[in-house]
Amino acid sequence: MNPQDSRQGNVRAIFEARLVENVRDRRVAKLGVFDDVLNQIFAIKEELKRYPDFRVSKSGPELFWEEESTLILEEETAVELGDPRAGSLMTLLWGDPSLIEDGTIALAGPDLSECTQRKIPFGLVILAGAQFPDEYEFFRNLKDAFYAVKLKGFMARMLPSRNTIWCRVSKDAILQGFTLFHLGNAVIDSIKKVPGVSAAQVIMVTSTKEQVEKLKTVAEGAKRIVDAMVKMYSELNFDCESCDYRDVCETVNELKRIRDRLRKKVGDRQEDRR
Amino acid sequence: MIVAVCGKGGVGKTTIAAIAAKEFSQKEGIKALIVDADPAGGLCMALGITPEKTINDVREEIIREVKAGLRDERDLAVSIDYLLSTAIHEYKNLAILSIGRPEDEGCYCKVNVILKDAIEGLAGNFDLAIIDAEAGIEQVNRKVLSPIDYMLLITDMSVKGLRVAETIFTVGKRMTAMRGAGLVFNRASNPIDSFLTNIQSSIQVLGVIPEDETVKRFDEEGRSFLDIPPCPAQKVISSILKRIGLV
Repeated sequence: MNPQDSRQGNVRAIFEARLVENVRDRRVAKLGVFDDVLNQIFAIKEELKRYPDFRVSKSGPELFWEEESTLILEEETAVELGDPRAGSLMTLLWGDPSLIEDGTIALAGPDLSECTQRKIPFGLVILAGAQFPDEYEFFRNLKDAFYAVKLKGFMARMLPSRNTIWCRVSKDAILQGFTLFHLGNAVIDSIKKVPGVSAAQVIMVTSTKEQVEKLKTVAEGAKRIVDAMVKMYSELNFDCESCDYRDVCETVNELKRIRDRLRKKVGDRQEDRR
Repeated sequence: MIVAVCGKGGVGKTTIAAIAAKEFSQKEGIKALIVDADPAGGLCMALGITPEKTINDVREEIIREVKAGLRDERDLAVSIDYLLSTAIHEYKNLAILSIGRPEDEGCYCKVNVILKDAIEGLAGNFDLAIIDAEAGIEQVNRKVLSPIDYMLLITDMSVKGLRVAETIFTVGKRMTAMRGAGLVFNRASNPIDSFLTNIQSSIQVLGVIPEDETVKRFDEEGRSFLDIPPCPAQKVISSILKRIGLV
């Protein structure tokens, strides 16, 4: 590396560090389970913005696409998004509505009609801005809303435990003008029907496997938080000593608050029974 | 429409299912699901396919997921859909699934039920589905074939083959949702008239497939029946499929 490259590298590192700080200052308004994760996602989005193929659109009725549950076989597939070997990520996060750019659909990388390869990486980040009384119930409703998205000429398969999504888009759909912005619009529409949601935004990445993997690393942190929360709600066991998620609860204050609330609820119930 | 191909072992069910698959692959505008429900995987072999993953592998993966903490039923259902997709082998308009051989004796009723529902749901996305069943009545008895619409009963030119077909038919009426059934005689050599005039069966006879040198050669050479050229057996199978409204 010549000295100039090295200097440029340092400047970039400083710039990126500042960018992350700026994003953090601007974004974190209230405490939520995913605040740190959201900061990292927003920082990655800021990075993605610097690429020439980064585009943003607003959701709206002009992006409506017909709903239909479609089975798409390989011979009718134009583009396959998120094949495990190509890179795949799907994550669903929430936070205070003030953190979410409502109705924004961002795409980094080629859209469907611009793909030069049939199998491309795919990262789908769904952010919901919401206020709700019960995180677990809300999370389940959010998931249901996303699972309910069925579009004509688009088929998605998901593996929640691995934050993975695998989609096929038919040749017919692309000929008829289907784009990833139509998908983003349908996701936002569906998410916003969940009680408590007042804002939703979607970030999609089709550029490179590395970009998708970068998001995936962040999403894995989010998944540990979700898993810890699900465990608390489903097992109602508050013995932190034997819990696999102790490290998560120690770093995410909001989880401690959920745990304390649940513990109190369980205690109240036992008291009532007595 | 879901059709199960049933009968005694060795009567040629798999060959008939494989030739049926070849027929479906030539029909534009339809999507067909082909299920090799024989743990020995004979249909996949007859189609020249080595499945990378079987339904049983999917079952085991799901059990691992459940053991690792997958609790939510909705997540379980979408995960099964995903993993089932990874087990599908595609050829033209055909999606081929192999049931595989269960290695694990454990009871995972919830997984089994959801998996069965997922397969039924998957079949519902296709214009037709054909299941090459395990020989005998075991799968009919265990309600594996409960969602079928039609039972294609295959027998060779033996009384024993015919009796097994009739038993499967009787049990099938009770244990499946089938709305119809038909009997097919396979590997008939001349003269067949006397055999047919003497048989007494309550099942409607759909056709008689002759002994066929091309089929025999493909079988002996282990060639894929997806490549079989027009031949007498294929013509009869094609007419049977038309008769029951499958093509």
